[in-house]
Amino acid sequence: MRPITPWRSRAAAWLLAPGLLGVVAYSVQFADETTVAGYWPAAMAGSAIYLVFSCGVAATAGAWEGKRFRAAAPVIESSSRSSAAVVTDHLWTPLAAGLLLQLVAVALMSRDTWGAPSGPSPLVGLAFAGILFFHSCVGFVLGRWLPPVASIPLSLLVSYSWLGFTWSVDYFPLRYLAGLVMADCCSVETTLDIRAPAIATAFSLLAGCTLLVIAVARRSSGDRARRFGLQIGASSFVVITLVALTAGSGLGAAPIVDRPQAQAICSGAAPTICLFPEQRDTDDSQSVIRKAVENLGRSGITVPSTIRASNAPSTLDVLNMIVQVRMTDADLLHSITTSLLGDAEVAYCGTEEDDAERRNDAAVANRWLIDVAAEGIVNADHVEPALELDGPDVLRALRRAPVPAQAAWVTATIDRLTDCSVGHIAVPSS
Amino acid sequence: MGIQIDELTFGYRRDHTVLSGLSTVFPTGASVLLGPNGAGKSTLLGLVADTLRPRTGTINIEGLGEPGTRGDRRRYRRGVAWLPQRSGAFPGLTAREHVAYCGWLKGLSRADAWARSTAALAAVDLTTRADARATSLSGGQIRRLGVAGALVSGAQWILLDEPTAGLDPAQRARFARVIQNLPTEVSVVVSTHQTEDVATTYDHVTVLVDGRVPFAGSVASFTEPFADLSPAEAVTASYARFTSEDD
Repeated sequence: MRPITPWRSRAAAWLLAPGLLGVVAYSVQFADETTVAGYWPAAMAGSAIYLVFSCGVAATAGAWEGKRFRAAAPVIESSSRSSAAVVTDHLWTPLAAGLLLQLVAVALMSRDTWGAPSGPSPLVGLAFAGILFFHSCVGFVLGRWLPPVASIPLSLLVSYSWLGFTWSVDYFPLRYLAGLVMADCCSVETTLDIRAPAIATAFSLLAGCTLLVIAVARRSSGDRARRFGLQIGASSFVVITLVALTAGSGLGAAPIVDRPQAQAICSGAAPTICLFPEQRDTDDSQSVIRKAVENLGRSGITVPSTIRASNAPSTLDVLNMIVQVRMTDADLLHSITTSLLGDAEVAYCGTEEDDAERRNDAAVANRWLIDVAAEGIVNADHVEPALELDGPDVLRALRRAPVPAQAAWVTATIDRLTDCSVGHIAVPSS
Repeated sequence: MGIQIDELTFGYRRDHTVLSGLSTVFPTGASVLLGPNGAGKSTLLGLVADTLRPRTGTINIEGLGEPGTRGDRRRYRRGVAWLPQRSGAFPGLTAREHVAYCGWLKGLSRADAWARSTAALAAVDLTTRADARATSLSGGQIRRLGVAGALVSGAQWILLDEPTAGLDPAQRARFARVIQNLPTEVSVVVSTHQTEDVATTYDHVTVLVDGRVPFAGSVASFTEPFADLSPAEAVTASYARFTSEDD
């Protein structure tokens, strides 16, 4: 059936094309940095970065609809339809255009994630819808009360500033109101703190409604709520903002929390390897790790009995290492050898000479671990070392020593990296 | 009975009253509400249109009841179409789309709004401009477009606030013809301070000055004291009796 307002008069219809162009161009330009493979929470939350485009379209189209509402206001005042019905007719196209763009963004971000365990998060989807509603309302209220020459550019500016400015300020709760902070989520061993989408959703929906109350306000209205709409809307907006800021006051810079280890699936013995489903289903990580541990064990390096995918510091019993989804064998070897080197920085023990020596020893130990662990898996030269080697002579000397002595030197050197009381340990002679 | 107004009091601020204890009747047919600027004409029509709420008093329209009654508001508003003075063409729409949108606002379904828009445009002699951008119409055409927007919903009463303000004589004459040719089941109240077309266009005159009604009656009784003058001159002279008293 023919729509009551033709599509050619719907700004959302003709803003879709430039919005889509922006989303695709951004995706092409920054695909390497933004594409998340194999982990739904990261793919879904990471697509928040595209809100810059979808919200811009929603806000600008909202301003255009606000302009039409402004022109029709004298007739709307005596409408038989409710204010909610009339406003819905104006707002659904900006919201739909924004949602469509965000859907494209999610599809682009998750193109390497289909088939991974779990699926798109409804909560994050709801947050996107809430945020887009808020931006549509921002545009609508500006279009309702300002002339188009001011409201349209201003709505785009406010939309972009609200997302970008709040993301960059050090007062963290403000970031959670705007919601773009979700883009900081997450690696496979962490997950999205659900307070982030919850706060963004609640704030956006409620604050958006207060803006609509302001949009339909009329001082001479016979309806008391509309007569005091400006006061009611503005004061409600302030209260909602304060409550939302309070709710977000305990949150940090990024909305991530460690993933419960209970979600990991452990298998095998000596070592027991605990990985999350995403890490197990798509890759052969387990066998690579196990083979590397066997290589190291044969050379005299003791690896903790349990290996977990975690950012947490390792302990005597548990080696925590980074395991991304679809990691190459070389990268897995880089990760496990770096983790074996220890989580602490090389200690600075007072002199530049000592510091340089400790760093070089660490680099030698790291290179030796890579050589040993990579045997039968990949060419060790293809594994990126964690530290740059300044003195290759030390490594050459170490390789000439008997194998048990090499392992003993590496073990002792790793232990002394953070212990200033232990001096340089000479490389065993051949 | 038409529109029965009893003891109506209204003010935009607590300390200011625009209408105080006003009582009058607008019978069915074509009525003109004459009064100088600031007399309260727009306020009175806004109250009848249910966009303002009186402090005291009642408005009752035969067959529609009283405005502001929550349960019947939709029915009341559908029966009363109001064209405020400041209403113009909606940007981005053609004339027909403008009229259809007005119908939708009055509660018509989309299909009905489209179907009725053609007849509404024909009633105001705008058929040939149906597909033109509403904002490209002349001032007189935009006023007629407003009447079409009021007619489309099938309202029994149409309230037009200063529809001829700013129009040249030719446009005013054409607008008067539109009023004269309205369907017989539609009654109209037109507020104005211009008297030229009153005698030939309307059946009933109400004069509103400073929130009071010094005269309400037929055009014939309004012009009776000046029977020796032409109808237009008689209306002007009679109207001057009330406004000059006010001065």
